[in-house]
Amino acid sequence: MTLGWLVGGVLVLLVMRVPVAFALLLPSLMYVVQAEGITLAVVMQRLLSGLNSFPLLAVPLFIMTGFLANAAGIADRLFAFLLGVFGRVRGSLGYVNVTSSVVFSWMSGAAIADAAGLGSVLVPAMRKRGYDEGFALGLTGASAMIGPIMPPSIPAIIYAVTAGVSVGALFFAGVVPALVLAGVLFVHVFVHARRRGFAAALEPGLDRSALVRATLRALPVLFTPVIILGGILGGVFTPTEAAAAAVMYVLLLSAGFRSLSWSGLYRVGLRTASTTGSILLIVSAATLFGWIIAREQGPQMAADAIMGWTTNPVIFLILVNVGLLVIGMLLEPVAALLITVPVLLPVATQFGVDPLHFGIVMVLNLVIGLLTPPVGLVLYVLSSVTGAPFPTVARGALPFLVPLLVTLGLVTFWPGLSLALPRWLGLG
Amino acid sequence: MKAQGRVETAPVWVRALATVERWASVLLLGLVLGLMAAQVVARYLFRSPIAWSEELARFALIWLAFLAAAWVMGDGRHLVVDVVSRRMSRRGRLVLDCLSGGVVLLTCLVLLPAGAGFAWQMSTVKSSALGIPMSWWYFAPVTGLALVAVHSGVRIWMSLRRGSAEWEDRSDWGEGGG
Repeated sequence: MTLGWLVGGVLVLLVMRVPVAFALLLPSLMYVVQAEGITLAVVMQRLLSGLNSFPLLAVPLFIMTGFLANAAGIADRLFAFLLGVFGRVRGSLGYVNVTSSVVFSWMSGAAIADAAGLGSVLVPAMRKRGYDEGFALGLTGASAMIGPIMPPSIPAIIYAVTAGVSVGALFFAGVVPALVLAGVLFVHVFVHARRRGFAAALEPGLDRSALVRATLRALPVLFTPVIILGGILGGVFTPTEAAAAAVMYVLLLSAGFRSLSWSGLYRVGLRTASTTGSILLIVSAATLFGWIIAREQGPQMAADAIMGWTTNPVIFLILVNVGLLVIGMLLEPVAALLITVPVLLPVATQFGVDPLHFGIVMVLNLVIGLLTPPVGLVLYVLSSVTGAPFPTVARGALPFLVPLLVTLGLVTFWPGLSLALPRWLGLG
Repeated sequence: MKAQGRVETAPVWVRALATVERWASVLLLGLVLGLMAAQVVARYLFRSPIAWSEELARFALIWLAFLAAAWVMGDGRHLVVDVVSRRMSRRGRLVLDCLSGGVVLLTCLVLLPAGAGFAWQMSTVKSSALGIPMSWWYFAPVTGLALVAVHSGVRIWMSLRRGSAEWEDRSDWGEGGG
């Protein structure tokens, strides 16, 4: 009963356009005030303990890496190099788009940063070469979803901290699913290019020396995952230190490219700080909320309710996927993770689902909501950086829900995709 | 980033406050970055790990989070679920804006007195590596929420004076981490 009031209160406040952190905080405060045996001191302890965590330090740093990579013009370099690679293929810019996202995702942990950075370069380029605008926008949005799956990933850090699993292991669990998503998008581009007969889109390609030059210019960028993933895997860094190393490396690159001014750096700092403040306030409030849910036996009640309905893990995963897709349409992924993980993970464990596998399923599922109205943040970002009207972006993104949902299905029902790599590396 | 209409029309002291919050947030971010980088360098280059860098970085992160959260509140860019409000009239949105601002203000006012008292009590407890009194840690949420209360109060007052919701004509997006 208490739980019903609590969750109902949060929902009403969310609909009233109360900021997510405060929609969680006020009902939690009311609960603590009326509950016996606890005082508001508990609230302060939970608010602080939610943020007093070493893995969370990686969040602002990886956010900063993404913004820095944007400001340093890394998307332009990648584009020139990949055009040289794919130039002579039919529908080349489609493949360039997806591959750019894969490379960019090694530096960035958020779909929004990827969509902003790549959208401003790739969408105009695709338009100019006669690609359908909706296709260009939708593909850029869909391939930006690789960012939060491929390490580094902000949602993965948040899941790992909330679920108590290793950030490094979850990072590596995301690698294969991210590549699967890229592969499925490649198939989509191939089919689309065949059907539309993108003859006009054939590029002259680069001659050998130009290709070598473009490769050399892009090489330092391609080296980033060696530092981040190699550093974590080799035990050189913790994921948090790898985040600092990534910021330093991208700073070094932008100094080498002479592409970032001091005022540009200050703006990157500002954007990073404001995104950090926005996310971490929710982390803090959600820690209190999650503690109350656990105190009121919420996970057990959810488990009993679902177990009374089905004991089949496949049906459980289908139910979770449908529920999360709806939540993801309304709520930003990090906020949604913070609210749902404390309830769903204990249930998933009872069904025998591995926490690493479940984490990748949840993250992939919730980021799909970034591409659907009404809240779809990536749609807004794409509309803002390309100047395309919001309805055009939303319509363009619609067909790409098919490859995204196909990938979600594969990742959900084939745990090996997520678990094989971390296990092989001795992390899972 | 788009220019924020609200900040231009805000009273001078609110703008000054936002500037302080912004600079403090950026400097704390720099501190977190510097400490983590120094930690790696000290371990590998000088073979002498720093014992206190992690704790100081966590301390900086907590202050960063709450100060930046206050500044983001002043800019009206905290994450919200914008579903029902889109379909409302201008007057309806004004009412909603004041209500949601009121919820934020109420939350802060309920928590602040007891929170500040608790933080004060914790001054005798010290953190493990640096011996920072725990009250300094707890003053981060207290300060942050007090500043949030100020910003949301000003925000309600300004919306009422203008007769329209602060987010009326904004097309930029909130800050998300996904």
